Amino acid sequence: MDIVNQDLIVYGLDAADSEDAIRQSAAFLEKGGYVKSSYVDAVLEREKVYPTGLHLDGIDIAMPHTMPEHVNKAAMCIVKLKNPVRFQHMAEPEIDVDAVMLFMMAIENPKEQLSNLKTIMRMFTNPDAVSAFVRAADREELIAAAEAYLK
Amino acid sequence: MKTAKALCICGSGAVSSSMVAMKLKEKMIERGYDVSTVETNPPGIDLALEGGNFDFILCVSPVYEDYDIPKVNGIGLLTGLSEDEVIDECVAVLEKKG
Repeated sequence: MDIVNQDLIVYGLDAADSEDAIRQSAAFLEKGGYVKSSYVDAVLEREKVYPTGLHLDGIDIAMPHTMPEHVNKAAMCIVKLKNPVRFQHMAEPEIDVDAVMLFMMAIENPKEQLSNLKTIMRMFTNPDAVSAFVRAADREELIAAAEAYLK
Repeated sequence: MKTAKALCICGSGAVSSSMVAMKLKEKMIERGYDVSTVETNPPGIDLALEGGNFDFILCVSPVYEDYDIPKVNGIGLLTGLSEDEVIDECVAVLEKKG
């Protein structure tokens, strides 16, 4: 997959809470035909059991995703929220993560997506990349950050 | 090069665990270990362990149960905030095992 798809880059999403943020973001993936209608509920269920919040260096994010059977075609929805919403930490669910961004993944075959997963992880661990996403102040800058660090 | 085998765990058994597995392999080569990995989710651990001979479990999602082999929290490999600490711990586990 080409993980940067401008139709799936959303700036300033106004979400009431993490469920709302997940529902709105999943709608973009569903509209594009990347995921099945079962995807959103599967992501929400999974988030309760295995949360996906992460503290990166300088920003809190979440990477909601679910099992491949709910996915048609690999894609990632990149969302910068208007206001942070609370997720729980992936490794220690008792820790709160006030996510400013969502990297919502639709992965249909993880073994075929290793290079993309590597690109995403490189971005998470690259302070310049994280800082570009933190600074992005409009949709164009968000797209530019994605093009620069997720291509 | 020494060899080692790690069972990598995340909620989906595929996405985050594959990410840390790649980072683990890359970083462990620098420490002289050729690490092979299997990725699964927490309910898949028992079955995977039967397949045998794992040296440690690398967890990205919490694993509350204890097994016969050590668990290492691998979240630092995903966030990049404590990569070296995670790798140090993996090396220590392997050295202790001898």
